[in-house]
Amino acid sequence: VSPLEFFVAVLAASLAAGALGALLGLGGGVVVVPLLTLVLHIPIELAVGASIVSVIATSTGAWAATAQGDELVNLKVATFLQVGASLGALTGGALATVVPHRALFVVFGLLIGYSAAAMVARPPGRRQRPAPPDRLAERLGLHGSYRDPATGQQVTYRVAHSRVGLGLMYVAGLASGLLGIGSGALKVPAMDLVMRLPIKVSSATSNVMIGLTAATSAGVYLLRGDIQPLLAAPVALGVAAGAGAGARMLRTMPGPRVRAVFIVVLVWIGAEMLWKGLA
Amino acid sequence: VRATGGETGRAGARGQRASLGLLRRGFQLSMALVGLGTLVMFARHPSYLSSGAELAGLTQVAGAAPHSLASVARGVARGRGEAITMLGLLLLLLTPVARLVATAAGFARRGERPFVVLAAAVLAIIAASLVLGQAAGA
Repeated sequence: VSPLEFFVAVLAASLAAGALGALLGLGGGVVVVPLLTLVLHIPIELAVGASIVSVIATSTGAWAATAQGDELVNLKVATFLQVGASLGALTGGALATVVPHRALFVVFGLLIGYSAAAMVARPPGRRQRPAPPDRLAERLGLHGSYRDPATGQQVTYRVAHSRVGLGLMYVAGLASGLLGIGSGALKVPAMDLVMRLPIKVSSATSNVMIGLTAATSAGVYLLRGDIQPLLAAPVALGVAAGAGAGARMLRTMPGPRVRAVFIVVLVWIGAEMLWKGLA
Repeated sequence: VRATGGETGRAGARGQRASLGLLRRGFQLSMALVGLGTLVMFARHPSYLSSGAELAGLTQVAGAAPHSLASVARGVARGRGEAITMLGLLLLLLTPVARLVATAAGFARRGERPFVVLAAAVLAIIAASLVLGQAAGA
């Protein structure tokens, strides 16, 4: 394989990774990392460095494509929850050299499998018991609304269990810091299942958050020399372009379909993590 | 009085739009630098286009790629493609943080003080992580 062929292969895969990532609020690392390590035999350190670049390119690429105050994003929820996610990432980074990674992959694989099962068990549209009023969400004014381009309807939603959500974001951030992942796979279910945000709002808001969580550790990877231009350039260009398409897809795709695609990808990620931990 | 309020509101919205436009141009610049650096790299090393022997050296941990600010600056000055790409990647990695700052400024303009504090806390955590990471790396 010549460097040019390598560049084109990574670019093509990154386009798909970016589109999927921006649609679902994930970083796209789930597509990029296995491709680089298993198919192209790139050292894992460099693959993780490329994954960090991919997460940030997804986050910013999706933002740049819709931009100017995309109403799917709840900026207040993102800012509130990011405190937990960043603290978790900080803790995870500090613990990364102490904790055995294989056990972690198993723990997070199981956690993601559980989220997928919970999302299947509670399909949208089925009437849920109304969430208890959340005084913190009330005081901060976290509730929101958006006009859904898929249906043309104005959707109003109320945020529930904001404290539990903040705690879960700490766990998601911990996974980011420990394993070098964007952990949208944990953030989206937390917002969807626990905080009762609409799936499209969860995905778009997760997209903003994963960029910040990844930026928390990006500088460290860069200084260590884990970001290689020949690897990171096609990832950045491909993912950013793909993310623009994914973000536009998220606007027009009906919520239930977004949720269905998310569950399928969640099962895939969970299986991948279990395999990494057990193989 | 109402007119003055409207005026500040409009000025606030203008400020918001200006900062969003600046951010978007920064993102486009970072992508352009990454692309330009790649083109320069292939142009200066024609063997990269066909030879399979070159790839191993380019995809090594701690390879020849510049990764300190000083080496990126030196490389850009010499017109090295890898360094131009790294400059673009550096700019890209800064975009989420720049967006957070713009978001915080928006909260400040609307008088949402709790969220200005929360955004500042996130920035402080990111700064702490960089300091700790650098200390661990050294």
